[in-house]
Amino acid sequence: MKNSIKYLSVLFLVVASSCSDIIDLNSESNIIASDYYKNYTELQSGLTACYKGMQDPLVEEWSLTELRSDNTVMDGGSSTSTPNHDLAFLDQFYPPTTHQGLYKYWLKSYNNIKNCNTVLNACGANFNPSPGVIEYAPVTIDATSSQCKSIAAEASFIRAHHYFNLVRLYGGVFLIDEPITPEQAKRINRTTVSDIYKLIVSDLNNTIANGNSSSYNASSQDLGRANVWAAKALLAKVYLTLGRNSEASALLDSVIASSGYSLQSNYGSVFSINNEMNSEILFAIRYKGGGLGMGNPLPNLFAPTNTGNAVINGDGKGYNTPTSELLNQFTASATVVDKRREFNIGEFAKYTSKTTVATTTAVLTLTSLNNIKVGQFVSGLGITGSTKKVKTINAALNQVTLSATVTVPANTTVSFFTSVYPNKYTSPTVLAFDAENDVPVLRYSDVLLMKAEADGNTTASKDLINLIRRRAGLADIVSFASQDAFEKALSLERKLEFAFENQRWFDLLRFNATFQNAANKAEGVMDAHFTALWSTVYSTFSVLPVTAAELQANSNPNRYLLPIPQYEIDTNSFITIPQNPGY
Amino acid sequence: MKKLLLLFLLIFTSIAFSQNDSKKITGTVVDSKGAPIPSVTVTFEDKNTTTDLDGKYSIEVKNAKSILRFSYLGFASQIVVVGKNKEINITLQESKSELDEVVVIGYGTQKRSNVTGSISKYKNEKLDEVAVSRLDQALQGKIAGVQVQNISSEAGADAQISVRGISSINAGASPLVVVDGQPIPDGLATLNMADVASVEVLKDAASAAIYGSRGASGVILITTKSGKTDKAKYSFKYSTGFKSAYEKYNMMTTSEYINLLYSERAIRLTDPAIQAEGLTNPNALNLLYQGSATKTNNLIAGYIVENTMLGGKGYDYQSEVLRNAEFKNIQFGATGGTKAMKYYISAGYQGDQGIMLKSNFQKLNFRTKFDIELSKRVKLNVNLNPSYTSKESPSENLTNFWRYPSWLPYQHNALTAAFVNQNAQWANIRPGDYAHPRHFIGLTYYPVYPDGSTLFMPDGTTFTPAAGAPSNSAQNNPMASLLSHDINAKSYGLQGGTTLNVNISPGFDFKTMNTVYVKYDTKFDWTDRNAEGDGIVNKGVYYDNSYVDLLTENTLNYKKELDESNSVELLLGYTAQQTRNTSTQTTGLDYPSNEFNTLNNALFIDKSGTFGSNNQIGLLSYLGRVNYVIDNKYFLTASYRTDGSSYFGPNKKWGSFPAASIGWAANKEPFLSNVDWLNKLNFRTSYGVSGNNRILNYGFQNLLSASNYSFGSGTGTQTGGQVGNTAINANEDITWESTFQTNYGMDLSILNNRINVTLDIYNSITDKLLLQQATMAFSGVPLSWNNIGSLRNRGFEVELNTTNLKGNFKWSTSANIAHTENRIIELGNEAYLLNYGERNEIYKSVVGGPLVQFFGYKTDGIWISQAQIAASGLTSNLPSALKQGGLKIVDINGDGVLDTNDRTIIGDPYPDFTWGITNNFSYKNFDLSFSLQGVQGGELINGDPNYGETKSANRNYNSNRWISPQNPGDGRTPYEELGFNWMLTDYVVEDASYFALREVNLGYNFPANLVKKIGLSSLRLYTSGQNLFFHSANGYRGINPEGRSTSGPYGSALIAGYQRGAFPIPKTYVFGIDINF
Repeated sequence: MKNSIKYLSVLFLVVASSCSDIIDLNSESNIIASDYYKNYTELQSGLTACYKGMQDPLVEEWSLTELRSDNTVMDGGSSTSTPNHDLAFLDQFYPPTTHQGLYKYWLKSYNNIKNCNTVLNACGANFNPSPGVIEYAPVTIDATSSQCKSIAAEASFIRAHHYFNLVRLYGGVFLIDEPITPEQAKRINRTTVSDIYKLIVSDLNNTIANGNSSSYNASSQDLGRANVWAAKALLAKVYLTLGRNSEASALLDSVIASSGYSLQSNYGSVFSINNEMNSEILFAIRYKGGGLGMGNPLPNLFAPTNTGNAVINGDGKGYNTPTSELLNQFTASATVVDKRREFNIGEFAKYTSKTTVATTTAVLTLTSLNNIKVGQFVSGLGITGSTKKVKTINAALNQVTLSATVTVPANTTVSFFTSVYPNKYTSPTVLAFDAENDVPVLRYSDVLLMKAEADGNTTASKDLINLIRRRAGLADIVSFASQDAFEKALSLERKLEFAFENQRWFDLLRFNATFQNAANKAEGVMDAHFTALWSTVYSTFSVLPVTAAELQANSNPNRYLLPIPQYEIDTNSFITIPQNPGY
Repeated sequence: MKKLLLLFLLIFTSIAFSQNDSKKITGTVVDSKGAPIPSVTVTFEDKNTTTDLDGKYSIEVKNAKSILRFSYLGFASQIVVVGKNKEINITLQESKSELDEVVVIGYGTQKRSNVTGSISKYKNEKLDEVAVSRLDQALQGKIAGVQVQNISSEAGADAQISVRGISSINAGASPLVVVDGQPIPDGLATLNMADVASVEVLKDAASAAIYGSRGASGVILITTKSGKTDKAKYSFKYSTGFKSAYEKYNMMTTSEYINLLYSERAIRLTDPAIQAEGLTNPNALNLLYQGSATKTNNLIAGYIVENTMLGGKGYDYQSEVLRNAEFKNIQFGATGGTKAMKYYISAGYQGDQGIMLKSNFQKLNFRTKFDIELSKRVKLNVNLNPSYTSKESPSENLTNFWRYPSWLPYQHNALTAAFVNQNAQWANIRPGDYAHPRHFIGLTYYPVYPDGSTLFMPDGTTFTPAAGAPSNSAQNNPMASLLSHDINAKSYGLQGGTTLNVNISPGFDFKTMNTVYVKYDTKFDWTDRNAEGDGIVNKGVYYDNSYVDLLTENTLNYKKELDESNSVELLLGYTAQQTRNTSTQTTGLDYPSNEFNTLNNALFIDKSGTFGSNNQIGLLSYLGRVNYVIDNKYFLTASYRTDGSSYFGPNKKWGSFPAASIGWAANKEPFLSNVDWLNKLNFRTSYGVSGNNRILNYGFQNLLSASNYSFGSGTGTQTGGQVGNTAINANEDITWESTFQTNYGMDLSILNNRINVTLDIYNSITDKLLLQQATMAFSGVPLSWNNIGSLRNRGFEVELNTTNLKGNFKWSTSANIAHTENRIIELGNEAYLLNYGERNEIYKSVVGGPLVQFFGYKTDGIWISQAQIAASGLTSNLPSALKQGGLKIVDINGDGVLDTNDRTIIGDPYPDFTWGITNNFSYKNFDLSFSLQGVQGGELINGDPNYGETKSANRNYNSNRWISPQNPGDGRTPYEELGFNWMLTDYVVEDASYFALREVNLGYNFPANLVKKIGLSSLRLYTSGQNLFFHSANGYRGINPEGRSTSGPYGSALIAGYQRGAFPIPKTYVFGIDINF
């Protein structure tokens, strides 16, 4: 008996002391971060993730830029769903500080800044604020110094891209240039706008100094990566924003002279999915469709609601609807239509009139005028192109006059387009939210127009603008009556050229500094926008019924900046984070 | 650690024993009816034996002064001095009191009278006659301090269980479930109620500390039935019944709603204030106040469809999707055996239909349990429990049905199809096709009946035909959506193991339990083509998860009765547990037909919906316990456990969990022993530490995941990237949450044990809270793991059991009530944490307050007029804060400005009391029992009124509302969308109190002589009901105050008390038969 006790006890002890490896476990399905970024291949895969991270903020970016400008409005304003509430608030310049969209944009941008900081840190690239440069520590990982620098050059560009957007949207944000712990974060307060720009300029100079400076090559496997030319163009835009036009001009000269980038002859081919990364794209945020988790969600956000699969599989959300002002501006005159219109604006006949047409000219006699408004586009047998719209309505005679002459056989059913939408990024898809289209960030036409902007009202500048106009099928401008006229023309050209490329709001702010005439400044433009659209758009919002005057009061310079997300202010119980004025 | 182990071993091994010459005693043990009782334990000092099938025993004793002890579960023990007798026959009396009840504790059992911790026991008497399919639901209101909340009434849905409040700020704050000694990871989901013998709940930390790192939220110990030494007995139990919704949402049809709008408009137009406004604001003339003409046309369009195409009778989605559901329960059982081998074999089937279409739950359980005596000293227990569950879930939330407008039928009829055919895009729609809102957009609506007569508006006017969009919803109608989705989950499980008990010497046992828990879950989530929108291909998502848990538990147990009234028991143990969890999900798209939906038919695989993971979890523990009984009056228990877990980083793996408790049987003191009405007076106190390790795997290390991008010409070449996680930061220093709990308890039995009271008071502090702490979003990740702060729970529980009437008419009552209060004592260095729900409503955790409080704006009715607003002098930048007909926010800080500084605490989700009462009556062969259960206090945030369509036609939100300044309704009900967002205010904070008649059970047992004639041993018929009465609080505007949202942001323990689209409470009737032979 005592023996058996002994044996059992020994067995017990042996078993009890030999199994500590049961609890020494590590993840088997995911790489452990602390063991990573130790060689060139791993740095590259970290950098790839930084590119991917640029996609995320784009889901909200249009709502903070295009929607707040005079380019687009919230079409679904009558819906009471939370996303529609939030978008209506942005459109009306009334975002609550707890607004989810502006918090998501903030979080996604800073998340990718974190990714960039991790890669930059692993490369030994540190921001030294006093001279305003990126400095390199000696390499300690399995990569050469030049490999580290080339990786850091690209990460710097991505970080600069995010900060440039953040500083223009939120003002003096939080300057985070290296990986930080949650505890450190709670001791950091907002910094000044100029300090943020210092980092942006340093980062872009780092890309220019250490990046790839090969000229454009249509078959390069590096297409899509940030190179020296993209950095120069972006830095030029930063300088224009800061009013440092001569520095911008010099950078743009360099791009025009040596980058190898050029204008596409046809505006539409710039955005074609069969011509991605063409010679006009200095930098784009790339997408890839086909169920890879890399597709572009924007077409489903922008397609009109309740269109079934007529515009895109999976229906649309009806966000970011082009304004009638924008549509009108694409029509240069009664006879000339901007060629860029059809590549920017899609039209969908939500409503088919049972109306039959009894005449054959631009004046259509209809059986009923129900639901027909001035400005609507018309299609039907014999009506070609997408430019024919209702010019006037004569209710007494049941007649509408179209903006161009058409020939329509009698008893034709005519469709009246009631929905327009941005179709710049629309291509056929199998899955919803999974389109192929890339979203351009910097185009060669931007380089040319920035060059004109940097140099001011000169003959060369006028020629650059005309270069863009000619491609759009528009007549040359002979001369500008004044500096204001020049700027106004340039501003309009940019508006049409870069419609839905999230540039309009930043352009409005940038031109604010130089415009003399108050009507051309951002406040004047937005006042006119609210006046023009109150009765047809804003008065129908159920969320926040406001008058045109209230809208105009909302869009004051205090609200040009978005609020710092309330979440961020609330989370920090150590230091008080100042909110932007006006909130 | 190991030194301690050696020390214990030395104690064990050094205990010697001896034998003397002796005499032999034999006899028979019978019950009060004279029937022999097998398996009675007969003890003399260290030796024991058991009676055989005929109740006979024989045992050797020392001398005439030797004392024999006869004990058997459920009977009062007897002690006999041998004297000169050679044959001692004993009649054991069934114990009516709890005095000698045996309770299961962690790694052993204990006599009720010796228990020093706080342990509640619930015996399975009619548990298997309760018309619910899950044990947790059946336990609601039965045990003091155990709160069970049926957060969803869907068939087979998990209930939320908490023991003594919330001791953790993790989402995983549910108690550990241990079935026959084996911790079961998925709790009570697969258990068959008919197999359950008893449920014990270890409530205080001292009792739970033996489970160490998993004990902080309490431990539920389930003991399943075992075989008894007897001839084979068979049982058959069958019950069936039906259930229906107790209450539905009080919705208006489209026509009723338009009638309301017309009558409101008529009133509004008589108001001079509106007329004055009307001159500048033509919108006042529209159907909705401040609504546009377009909106008016859209509303009337729905009215026209309902009246001219649906015959004036709207489609009631709510009634169509809810049904009278069936409930079925079939149980077979066989038990019996010899002294060498006893068996318990059972098979059970439960079919539980949800009251919503496509909600079904089926459960099949087998249990085979053998107790085998391999030799006198070696016993083997084999336990096998295969199970199968199948669950069908609806793809749509009930909200999507009840909020749906009645003008849209779910299938087109001839009239609606012809109508939408006018639009070229919908020209192919035929009667019988699903009808979606988009079909009706942009058409011209003529107020004309099919026979050509005119449909007049409710005010007698005629409507000029106009284009309309009766609903702008882009969603498919919910019925179509529900019918086009199939979500089926199946789960195959095996709980099994062997326990080998070696009796090394009298009272000294070595036990090794080696078990396996295997679970294989599969889920197939199918979506028909076009079900999620036109042009969307069909989709089949295959999910499978295998879970294999291996456990070895080895204990040494030494029990020594030092003399009649002093005894000691020692336990020493070592356990190791290893769990492997492998899961994959594959999403296939574009199948050739809805019938051929295996992956080989998929045209392509959606990579964004395809994942896999493979992980292992390990737990290693050493434990020890000493129980000491002095003079049968003083009871001491001390235990210690140390756990090492793979959940934590290299330096933080180990945690230790000590506990100690003492008890005093005061009634055994001389000064009380003569008080004849006092049967029991026990005082208990305990202190212990238990832990919580329910955190995400590998929370101590940051992991990377794939993040790919394309570079190069054309559409680019996919290039692999790796990115750090975006949701929550790792923290390599995170470690155990520790709960320190003190418990004071008292057990009182008086008047011949007819009144029994148990009272417990506790105070527990949870330290080093494992928190997903909100961090600055600009650091890139909005949350991070941390051990910060501490939380206190304190409260009391009272359990009362009385025998009110004896004799022919019997009546007994058991009641319980519990109160718990939690307070945050410290949150690291933070003053508070704010968390946001899906509607931007805020949940605040503030030091000194309860764990979660609702944070927002207080309201004081509504603004009745613009004049009233102007007179208030308030200004605000908050959207729509100052609108007549909208909510009036209180200027809390009195600065004249309504802004974010006016937010304050507007409620909390925690009840003041939870209680339950069960009454049992019996008269001759009839018995009746009913259970009442309730929750008093606590609030919820009702998310239903967030959307326009969920509040506009809901009578609970549009009765007595503001119409105009002169007709402000009750002055508290705002008008539709006017004014400030309701979801940010206390207007949606509602009282969640309720009480319910949970169960009624009426049974009849056929007389024994009658059933014997037909060859049965017993026959019982019964009927039972669930939720026959349910009363919720006055301010509550929903239909089920127990309903809670738990997905998305509501998975966090720091966001609690939100409800949206609660499922109705099921009212159930069941009829059953119970046969034993």
